[in-house]
Amino acid sequence: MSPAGAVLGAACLLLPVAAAALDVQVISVHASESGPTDASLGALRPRLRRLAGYRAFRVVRSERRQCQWHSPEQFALPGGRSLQLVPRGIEQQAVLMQVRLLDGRRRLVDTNVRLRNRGTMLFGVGQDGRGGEGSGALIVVLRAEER
Amino acid sequence: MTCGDVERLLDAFIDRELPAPMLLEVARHASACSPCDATLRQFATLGDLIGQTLADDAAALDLAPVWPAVARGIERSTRRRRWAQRLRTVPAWGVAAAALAASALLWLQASAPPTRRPVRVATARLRPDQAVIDRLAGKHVTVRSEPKAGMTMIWVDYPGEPVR
Repeated sequence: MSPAGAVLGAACLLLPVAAAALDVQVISVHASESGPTDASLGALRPRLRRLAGYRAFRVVRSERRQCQWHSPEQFALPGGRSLQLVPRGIEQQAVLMQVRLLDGRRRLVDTNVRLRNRGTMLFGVGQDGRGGEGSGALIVVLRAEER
Repeated sequence: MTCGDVERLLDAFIDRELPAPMLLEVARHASACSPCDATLRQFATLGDLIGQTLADDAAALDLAPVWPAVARGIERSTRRRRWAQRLRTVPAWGVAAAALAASALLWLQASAPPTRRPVRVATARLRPDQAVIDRLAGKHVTVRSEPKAGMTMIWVDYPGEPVR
């Protein structure tokens, strides 16, 4: 086999691996003490209520993206914040990711998580974690699914 | 006193729980009534037999393996009592010095810079929405978990408008 053929063969072998991606969905939710809750969050509402302490939840932004393994991705969040994530791999039906929650350039959270494939996890940013009197909180819903 | 009365009072008579006049009445009736006399004797024999069996069982009980544990318990209790006696003899300045040392230790721990320790969670079997956090860094960060599906939330206590 010629060197060019070998390179082409290797590229063909690597192509499905590169194509295998992680489907990531990031939903920004505004949590507040009162008001209506978006119908799309109906199923999630009881858990959001228990975990965040607020009563009303409204979707502010939603983004779904195919992410490549080991390739950093940045999702814009309301209020000048962003969620950076690097999918690192899959292990025992769990998606390994490095996730950073940023406020501008300030790093609020930097974590390595293992989330069950097709599972959901949450990030919350607010002054009072349990239903304070302020203007509410930002909740980030992160879903990851290996294709 | 009739045979029916004796039958009703039988248990109490055997266990000697009847008042003396009543005991006498039952005994007097039994001495004149052979069926009641026979019944009383049968019950008395049965009672004796049970008593004897219990006494035999108690005598046959081997408590030898129990004693080492009892002895250890006694020894522990004695040691505790000795310590309590010693503590009572410690002067007031000793107590004050110990309290001062404990306060200093607490202060040193509180004033030490926060270390970025990873939060580790056992990964036996993940529930549908459970996330395992291998490493977590950030200020004023807490991890909350919802018991039903194990949904995990990383919460940051951070001022500012949530949605600008």
